[in-house]
Amino acid sequence: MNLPPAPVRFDDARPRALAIAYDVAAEGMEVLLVRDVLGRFALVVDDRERDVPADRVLAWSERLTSDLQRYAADRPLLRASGLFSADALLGSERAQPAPRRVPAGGYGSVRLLDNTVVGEDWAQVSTPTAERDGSRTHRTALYGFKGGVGRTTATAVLARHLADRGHVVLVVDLDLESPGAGPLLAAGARLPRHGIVDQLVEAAVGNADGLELVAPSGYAPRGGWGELWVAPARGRGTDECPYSYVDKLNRVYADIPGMDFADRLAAAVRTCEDAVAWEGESGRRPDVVLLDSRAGIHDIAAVTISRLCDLALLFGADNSQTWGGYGDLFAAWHSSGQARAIREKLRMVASMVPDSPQRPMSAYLESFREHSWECFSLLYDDDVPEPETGRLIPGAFSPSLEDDSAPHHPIPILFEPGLVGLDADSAPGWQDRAFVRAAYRDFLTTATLLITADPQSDEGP
Amino acid sequence: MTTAMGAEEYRELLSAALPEATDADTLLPNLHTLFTPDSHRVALYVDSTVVRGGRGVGKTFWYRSLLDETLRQVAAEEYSIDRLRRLTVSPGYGAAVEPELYPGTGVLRQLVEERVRPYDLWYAVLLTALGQSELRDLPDWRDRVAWVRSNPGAAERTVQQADRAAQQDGITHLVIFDALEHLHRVRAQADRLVGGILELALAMRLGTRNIRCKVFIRPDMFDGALLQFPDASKLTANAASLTWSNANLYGLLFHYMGNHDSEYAERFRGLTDGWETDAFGRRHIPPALLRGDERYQAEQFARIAGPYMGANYRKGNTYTWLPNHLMDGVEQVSPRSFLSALNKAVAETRGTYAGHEYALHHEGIRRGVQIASETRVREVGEDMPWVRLAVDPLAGRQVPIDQDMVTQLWRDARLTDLLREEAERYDVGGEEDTVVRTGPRYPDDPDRLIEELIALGVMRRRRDGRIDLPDVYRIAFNIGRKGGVPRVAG
Repeated sequence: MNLPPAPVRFDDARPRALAIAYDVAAEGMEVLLVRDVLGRFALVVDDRERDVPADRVLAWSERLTSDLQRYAADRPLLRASGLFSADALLGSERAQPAPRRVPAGGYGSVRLLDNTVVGEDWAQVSTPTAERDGSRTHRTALYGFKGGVGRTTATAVLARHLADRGHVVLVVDLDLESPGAGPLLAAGARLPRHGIVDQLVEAAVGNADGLELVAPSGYAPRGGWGELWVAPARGRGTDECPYSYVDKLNRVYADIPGMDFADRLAAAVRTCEDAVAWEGESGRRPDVVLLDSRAGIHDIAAVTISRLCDLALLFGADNSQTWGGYGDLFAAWHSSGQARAIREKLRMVASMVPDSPQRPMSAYLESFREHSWECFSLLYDDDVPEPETGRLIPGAFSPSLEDDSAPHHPIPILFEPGLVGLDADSAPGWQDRAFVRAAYRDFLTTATLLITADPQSDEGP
Repeated sequence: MTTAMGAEEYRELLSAALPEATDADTLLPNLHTLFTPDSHRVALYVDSTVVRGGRGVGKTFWYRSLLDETLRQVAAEEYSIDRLRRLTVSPGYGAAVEPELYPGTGVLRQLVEERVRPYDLWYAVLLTALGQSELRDLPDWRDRVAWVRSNPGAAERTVQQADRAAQQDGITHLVIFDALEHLHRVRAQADRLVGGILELALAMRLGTRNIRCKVFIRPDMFDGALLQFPDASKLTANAASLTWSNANLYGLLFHYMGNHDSEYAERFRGLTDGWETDAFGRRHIPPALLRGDERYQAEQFARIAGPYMGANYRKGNTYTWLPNHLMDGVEQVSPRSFLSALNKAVAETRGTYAGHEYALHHEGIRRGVQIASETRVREVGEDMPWVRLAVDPLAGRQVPIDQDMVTQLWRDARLTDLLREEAERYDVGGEEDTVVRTGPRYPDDPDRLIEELIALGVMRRRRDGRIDLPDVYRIAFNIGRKGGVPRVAG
């Protein structure tokens, strides 16, 4: 009795499709592999300059159908010469080079175009440019794959530290689903009447003028001319009518004509930055913006890390959820060809690090560092000796485990039970307490240096 | 107040002050190069019998400094160890040929073949050092050992008298041992010989008040000798280690810079206020901040190399980058590698980046580290040719690598046969006989061979059990590292 073949599943489909694409490229053809929103593949062969024999087309088509089963598109093989919009498709900026190196000489190139419903923003890495006057707003995202790692508290401590050093700091609360940075920072001062969600819904109907989006926090920086501003997710609202946060939140993710969600969010952050200069006595734009991003694999996080910031501090504890989560995230960047662009924007933060005689910090950090390296190595160059010479090619971006400036190298924040569930309103001056200072010492020093450095160039070291 | 120094002036000073030679024997201690890092103080205690240290960390440097009356006084002064002033020091073994004081390589091999008990052999060395007259009359070590065996009473009396006399004079006899990797090429024999030294050292420590031994030894050799006699573990308790922290390494650099005979060195001292001149008026002692404060050192080094390994902080710190990239698997940096990397970095900057605003360009530093790695691999190859034989089969592969894969590659390369041939090559004797090297302890057992390489710092084990190599070895051996992103040619 013959058993039916095991069905091809989603994860099998991609490598199978790529294998076929490489084989077709080996016959000298330029190819583009297109995946639709359901995950099905079609192979576009560029025959505009070069004729393809009909029997080859038929053979490739049959192979796609049989190898990919349900994950073959209805028309699995397309010839560019027969497409109405071949130029647009083959010239798409969203197409990425294939993950495997294609040998030179007689080989066509292989590219991949992934069509997704959401989450595509992970695959679009860019770095904010300098202002017209040459100044630069340093945008740093603070992100945790899992919530509850002390990210928001760290954002608050860091913001005050930077303001103490004379920076104009704006904290934007992008944790829209669980807003928190606003109240923690604004302690003692009034929140603005509107929040990021208001900006998003009002801008969608062209009604954003006159919103009150930012407010100076209650914190008075010591010395210098530092300022600390807050743009909360949720506004204070007014007495006249109820503040319907959930109804607004439901509407922020919609794409509007000419602007997708990523553009809308970028515009909202920009508007908040401008508002600081507009409303502040000094008229200065913020030179440091901290984006408190929400946790998890979510579009807000995707846009924040991939597009809005020039530095992303990735929070985590040394456990399997952290590494499983970052592993998935890094795999997505890797497969969409973004590893090179994203890796130097990232830096790991080990939050809630234990330090007791039974569990010393050094042992914890050592384990953290190894797991982190393991995870990050997916984004690092494969430093393999050249087959011809047997020698390494210098200049690989492949930092060693011990490299203290590498993205995987954790910046520690000590676990401090006194800060769990902190209510800033009832604990004034909490950030000055000795135990808080001790817990954040390394983090503040290193993060400040990283944040105020210019963004990395695209080239490796 | 001295005016700041420019890039070219720092370059002049660095290339003049830094030792060019990378060979241990040419980097001799003298009043200018004797640097006393705080962490080495315990190693100089008269009662620290065992002083552990890997290749190139300064075992021979201290061995020779102790033998030199003047340098010993300097160390006594700077470490504030008064006992060092009241010593008579004699060599019990060393790289130098001193047939009167201890047997040389050829003689040792002959004695081992004749199954002489190592303890008796070193006992004879000690008694010779203590001036036993009957022994001095016997030129041959074979006869001296025989004398020790047949005159136990006279031997003991010699020790007792020397101990008493030393006590009355208020001095201590210190017999020091170095270059133990030269004892015997067969690892098991070398271990037995070292075991004999340690046994004697322990006997003196327990049985006398004023006769002490000090044994400078590689950690893996010490561990091997511990298997030889059970009481050896009593020596682990107060064993000292020669280690170099980042602050020590930079302290050494600044010491060299401040102790050169030039106008630049004088200006450098003026720029880093607080130098003192020692009692002899011939050497300059760096201020405490410059010797050991990482922040202050980093500021000073930033004047020489700039603060960052590129445009800004995200590219890494010059101060930590250098030691981080020279570190071996047991997290040790050899000061010699450190100084020679800097020396190369100056030359590279001069050749390629002469117009750079700092004395050292970060690309020059990268190049310096690469050269230092190659030097390191060559040195280890000289000391222990078997290390090269064992690592070479991994060339072209990538780490981290499974242990099974390593042993498979070794089988494919017939490593066991190679190690045996290597050992036989030295059996033939001849000229190479004077350069005796220690082979691996377990050439036939791949798993233990890996442990030996880990102990030497050539390999390290990841927490998941896989084998890794520190960059200082990995790059020079052309072993890759696994990453996810395919390299694009060109």
